[in-house]
Amino acid sequence: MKREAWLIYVVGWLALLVLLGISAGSAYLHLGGIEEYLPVSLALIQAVIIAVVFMKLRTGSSMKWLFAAAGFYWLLILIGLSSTDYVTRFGYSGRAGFDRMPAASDPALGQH
Amino acid sequence: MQYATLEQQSETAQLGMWLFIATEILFFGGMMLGYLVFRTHFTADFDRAASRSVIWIGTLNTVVLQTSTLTMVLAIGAARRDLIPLTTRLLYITAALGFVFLCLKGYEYYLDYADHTVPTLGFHVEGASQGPAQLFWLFYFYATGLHAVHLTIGIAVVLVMAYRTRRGDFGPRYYNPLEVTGLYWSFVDIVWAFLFALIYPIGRS
Repeated sequence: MKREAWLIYVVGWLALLVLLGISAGSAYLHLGGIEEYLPVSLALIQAVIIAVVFMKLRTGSSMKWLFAAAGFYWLLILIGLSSTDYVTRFGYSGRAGFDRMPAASDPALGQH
Repeated sequence: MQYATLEQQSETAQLGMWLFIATEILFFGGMMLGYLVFRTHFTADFDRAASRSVIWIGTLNTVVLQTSTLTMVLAIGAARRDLIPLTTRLLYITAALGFVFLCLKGYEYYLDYADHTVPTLGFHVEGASQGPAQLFWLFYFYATGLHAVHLTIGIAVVLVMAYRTRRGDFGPRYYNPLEVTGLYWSFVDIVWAFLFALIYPIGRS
């Protein structure tokens, strides 16, 4: 194996471990609210590193990119369109979630 | 002859695996969507429940799995360079690391049971509504269990690859099954990266 090839995999692996360290460490820190989204954001970066370096998306035909992107695109449709339902299911209060189910006395239900 | 060149054969097999991975993305994606919906709804209870997960095992297991992804891809490189004994050794190391992951996971399940976080089996999480807290732990066992099934299949395939490498099936001209196995193995690692983020660093700060 060429030396550069070894190197890129080892560097990729080290990057994954650093991101993991930040993710695990952030669990114990107050970061003004971003700790809520940090682990998933870091997981997304890890996924890109694994796909590009270890699954070799950086080399080969653009067809590979197309197939990989299709999987991601379908996931966006799944999560995106489903979320629109859950966010807007009960009323238009602007608040998310189905815990906002209107109370029996709610004028929105037509009971005055 | 089915393919014009070995490159074309390799490309076709890899595209097939990418297509399979796309279906797997939706398989695990649906589960994560369920998590997202319920966590948005029961944020405080989910955080409380998640803080009971054993983060040191989760972190250690991530290191183990990501290291196995490295040894897998190095094995493919070694086959391309005709370093067959090294390829076999790296494949065995990859499978062994997968097995270590499963053992640690099993131990973690035992700790979860002892901590009363297995739904319906004496489940109790202090300071949370028990229903939503059980939803989190159901997701935990369902998702990590399915991931473990995928990993077990991966270990079996890697061991078959190690056997075939030793038998002399692969070399610099033909190592396509190793490439395809590597794609699957890396995908199982990606799934774990997301499961780690959704389960372990939550609700501790």
